[in-house]
Amino acid sequence: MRRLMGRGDVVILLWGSLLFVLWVVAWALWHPDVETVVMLAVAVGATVAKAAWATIRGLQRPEPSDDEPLAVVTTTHATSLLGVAICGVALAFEFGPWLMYLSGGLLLIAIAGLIREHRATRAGLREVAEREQRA
Amino acid sequence: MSAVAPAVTTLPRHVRVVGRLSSTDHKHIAANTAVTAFGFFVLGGILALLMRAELAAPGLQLMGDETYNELFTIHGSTMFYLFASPMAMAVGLYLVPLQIGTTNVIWPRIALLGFWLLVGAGVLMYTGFLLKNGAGKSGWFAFDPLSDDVGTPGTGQDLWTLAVILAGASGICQASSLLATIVRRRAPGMTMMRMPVFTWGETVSCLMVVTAYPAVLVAMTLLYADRNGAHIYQNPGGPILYQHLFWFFGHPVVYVVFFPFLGSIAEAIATNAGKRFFGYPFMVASLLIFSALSMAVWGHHMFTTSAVQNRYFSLTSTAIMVVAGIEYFDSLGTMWKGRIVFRTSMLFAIGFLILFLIGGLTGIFVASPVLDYHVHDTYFIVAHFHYTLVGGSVMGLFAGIYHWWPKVTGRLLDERLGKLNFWTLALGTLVTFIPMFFLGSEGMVRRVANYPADRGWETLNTISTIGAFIIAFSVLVFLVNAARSLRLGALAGDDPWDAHTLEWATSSPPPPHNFDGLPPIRSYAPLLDVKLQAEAEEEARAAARAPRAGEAAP
Repeated sequence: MRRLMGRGDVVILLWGSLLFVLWVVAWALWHPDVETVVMLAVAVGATVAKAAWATIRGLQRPEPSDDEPLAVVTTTHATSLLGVAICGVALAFEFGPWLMYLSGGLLLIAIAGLIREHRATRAGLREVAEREQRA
Repeated sequence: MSAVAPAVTTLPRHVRVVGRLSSTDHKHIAANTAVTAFGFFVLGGILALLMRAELAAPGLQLMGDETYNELFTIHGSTMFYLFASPMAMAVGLYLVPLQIGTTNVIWPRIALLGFWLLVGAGVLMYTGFLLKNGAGKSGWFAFDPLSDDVGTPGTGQDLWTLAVILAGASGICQASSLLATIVRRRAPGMTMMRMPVFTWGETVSCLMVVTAYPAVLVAMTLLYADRNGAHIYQNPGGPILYQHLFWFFGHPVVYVVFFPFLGSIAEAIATNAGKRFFGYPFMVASLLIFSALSMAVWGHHMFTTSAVQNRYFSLTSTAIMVVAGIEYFDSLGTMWKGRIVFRTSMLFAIGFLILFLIGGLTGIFVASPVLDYHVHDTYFIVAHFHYTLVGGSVMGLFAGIYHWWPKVTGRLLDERLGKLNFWTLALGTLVTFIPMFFLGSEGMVRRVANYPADRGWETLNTISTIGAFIIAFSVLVFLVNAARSLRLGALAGDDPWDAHTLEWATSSPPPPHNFDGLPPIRSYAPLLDVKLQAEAEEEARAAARAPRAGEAAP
């Protein structure tokens, strides 16, 4: 049990089973209103889905080993711009189309920047891996 | 020492403000979020002072009813959406990767996006004050039909709704990143059952955020559509549906802002008592059960609607006391026979245990539908949840700040100012909120700027107002202490408290890649293991050096 509890996906699944017990107790013993039943059921389903995601990721790619590069610490102005653009879009719902056009433009620039960063990161990691292989 | 792979870093050499605001380093994201959230805490506190000043005497002195409505709405919204919940994620973003021995969070861009959405949420929420109809004024819960386009017309309420959507999305972004990191990126040897209690607190909080916060996004998106012509909640059953969606988020959020700070007092207690945390497996089990239960108690906010199964929600709400009791027992057990050092962090931890107890015990009262009907929408409820939030979250936050400040900044806070900070906060909390229990049970309703002069409530209200200003003084003392420490504070060193968890195995502040090397991880207190092993080896060496009986000394 202790060994199983050492795994993240098992912990999420356990938490989901606790929610499931609470759902069963509500549904079987008290027959509450439909909203209560549905919302608890959605919570159970969402948690099981998270546990499944964690399990699948674990099977696809085991947890990082000792010599794997773990982080690419960098700056990402595109992400900041994305945040500002989303807030601009939200404001634009109230302050008119001019702000929507402006924020929409920023949003496109931010997405383009993110794609560029993503490519650069992958290229950088590939380069490191190749260098390590050569070494 | 098992080696940790060197981080691939492209961080510019001279990281300046703009760079920090766009950095993917979890420490920068966390610091940005924490400073922003604390700024909102101060703003929300100023709004509270204005409200308390108005309530010090009967009649309307400083503001009208409409302005008061705006103040209590934005005060509550600020404290939940812009301060407590982001702060709970911020401390996790900083400390969890350090505690589990990794170099960064998974999906740092999503965590950074969460920070920017928080800033946007604050801007939108406070922009309302500049508009003709004022800011949102239908409470932090915005019940329908009070919050619809007829009940609260104007752009301010629309902006409030959009701000809550952004704040909710911000929380989901940061919690997803943190949860994925905990599940997938622990250091070799760091199993889930070897994670420190603080990280467990963050784990269950993140689970709750990613499960409960989508409900508020749905509720607010529908509310925005409702206010702009869709009239979704104006169908039969609409207001009850709104309450279900809102409280499905609104109650768990109280625990989201509680568990991380429960974890921080657990770390502070174990360190200051010089002992391993007592009853670790039971603490973990209680956190999991507590958090699951708190996903199934939202209906107790709806007892008086007669639309929910009161007995079920009363049972789940009361059952929480059992698991909360285990957490108290474990905390006290850790102190038992410990070599306790009463540093400021320890005082805040003890303050947490005492003040949160008041909030917890009065929670039993309002978990009972019979008593809840009596005190519903009165100052009794205001007192109850402020004891859970100020006594729990704020006290726990300060315990964490005084415990981890040296790790984050590399400098020590002043202990005398820290103790003044603690005593004034504890006194202020008692003086402000104890009178509210009496006012509430005598029938003073909440969310009103005025009250009758002939009910004898003035003295208690004046005392409560004095208490609020004592709390403000306490926060001011902390700000002075923080500013002083950053300029003049003594250097802390890597491990000033002789602590137990991995974050103290690196420099203060930690380098961008967090660790040059990790100690072996064999329990939830790996640094304590290393220290105990070193002590045992030293003792063995000393014993070997000592002359045996009957042997002549050289």
